[in-house]
Amino acid sequence: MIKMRGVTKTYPGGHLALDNVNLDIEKGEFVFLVGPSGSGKSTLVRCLLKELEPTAGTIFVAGRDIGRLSQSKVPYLRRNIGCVFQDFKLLPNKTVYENVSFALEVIGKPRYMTKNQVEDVLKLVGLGTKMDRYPNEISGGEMQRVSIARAFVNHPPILLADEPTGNLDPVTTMGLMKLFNRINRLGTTVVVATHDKEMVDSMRKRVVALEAGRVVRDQARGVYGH
Amino acid sequence: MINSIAYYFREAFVSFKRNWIMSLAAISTVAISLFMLGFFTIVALIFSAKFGGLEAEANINVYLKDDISVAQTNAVNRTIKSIPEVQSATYISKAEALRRFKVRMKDSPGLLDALSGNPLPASFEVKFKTGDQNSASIDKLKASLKTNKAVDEIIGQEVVRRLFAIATIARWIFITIIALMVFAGMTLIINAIRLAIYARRKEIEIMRLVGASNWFIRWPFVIEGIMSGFLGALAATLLLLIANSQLFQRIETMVPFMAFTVSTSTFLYVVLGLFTVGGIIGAGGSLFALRRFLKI
Repeated sequence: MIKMRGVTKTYPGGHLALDNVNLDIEKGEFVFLVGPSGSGKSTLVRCLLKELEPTAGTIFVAGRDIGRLSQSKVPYLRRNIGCVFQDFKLLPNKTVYENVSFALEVIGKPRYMTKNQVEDVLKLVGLGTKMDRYPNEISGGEMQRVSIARAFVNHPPILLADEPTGNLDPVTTMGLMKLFNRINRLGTTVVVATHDKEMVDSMRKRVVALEAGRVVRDQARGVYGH
Repeated sequence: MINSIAYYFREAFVSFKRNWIMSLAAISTVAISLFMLGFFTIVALIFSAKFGGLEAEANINVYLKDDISVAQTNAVNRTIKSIPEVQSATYISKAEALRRFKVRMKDSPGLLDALSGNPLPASFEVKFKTGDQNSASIDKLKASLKTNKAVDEIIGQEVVRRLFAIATIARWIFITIIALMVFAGMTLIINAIRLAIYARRKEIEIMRLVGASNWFIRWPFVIEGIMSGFLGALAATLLLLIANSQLFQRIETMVPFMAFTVSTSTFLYVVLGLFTVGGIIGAGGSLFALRRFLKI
């Protein structure tokens, strides 16, 4: 599903963020991308979304070399990759329901056709009763659930999460991990970048560790550290 | 497709209402800029009409000697008309000259009684084509008639020359002022729109994140920009109507011999122009301001 070959990213100014990264992620896998801050996790995620262009190397998503994708085709790439971020990125002036339906609307699906789809995904993330609340009326964990619902409502083959639990307490974090697991079991490839040790250790999933831009460990059913 | 178009308009209206302070800022900027533009355009049109009229009136008289033959007169006529810049050359016979003189002097009949015979010379009234009303044309006319024995005198050169020069300068001043106003107005408007879009950058970021195509993001902003442009033009029109009734028409009453208004149709053309410029600047400004938020 995701294939990276010799991916290197040097930022203007010379900082080497990714150093010859080779990585294969199969369809339906659940992968943790771990490493300290500044190890290149976010850069890798942004390269996958084509928010950044790697300095060298190629990235294939679903068999497609995204480096050769024209700018106008980038939106179609992103429709195949649901994204979840640490800061949720919800629109404060839209309700929970509207925040999710917005994602379908902007890819050209009319409102009346998506009602069931939106309600189903909100039930899946456990927010079936809070659809009419505004983001400032719900908790941080719930906001992240909304953001996951938005990322998943279109049933993309890949779900990418960049530090999804960075602002949340351990109990909430575990709840979200169960949710990611459930989504993964529906057949979606899930990649979670994190430095949350406890979470990674408790899940026993594949762990790819980055350090100073290099893959230093790639372990099936792994843990955060040695 | 229909759904998307409905979405664009709905989004434009909703965001217009929701961000009404920013919209108001953009609209007032558009309104003030367009009002200034319209105001100066009208002033320029008034002056241009004035000069245009004077220029069309301004003619040069080529006076002929009294004792020349018809053939000589025709030769002068041909010479004048062979100059490409000349629009027309009207022959004024001695009799016609006297008639005109009498009309002009009808308020002092005593003067006419003193006239015995007809002392006035025959002449050609020369008019130049629009765009050729300048000193060079006058020089050409003079040069071609210099050696012609039938010509007595060429009158009206200096006044006409000066008038042409002033008209040219005035025209350039107005063109410069209007160009500067368009530029200043555009900068202001684009800035106002950029502020309005900056306030919504998070929304744009999320739209991009979930895979909205660039045009899908752009359309509501473009429609909103056009709406701001039109509303600004509407406000500018109201201001112009006030200016027209409070300023131009008052000046005309105070200075009766100087026409200081434009016709209704001209006014409508100016208003139409303002709406066009407003719409284009609104749409263009939105597109321009969106550029940096749509990169990557």
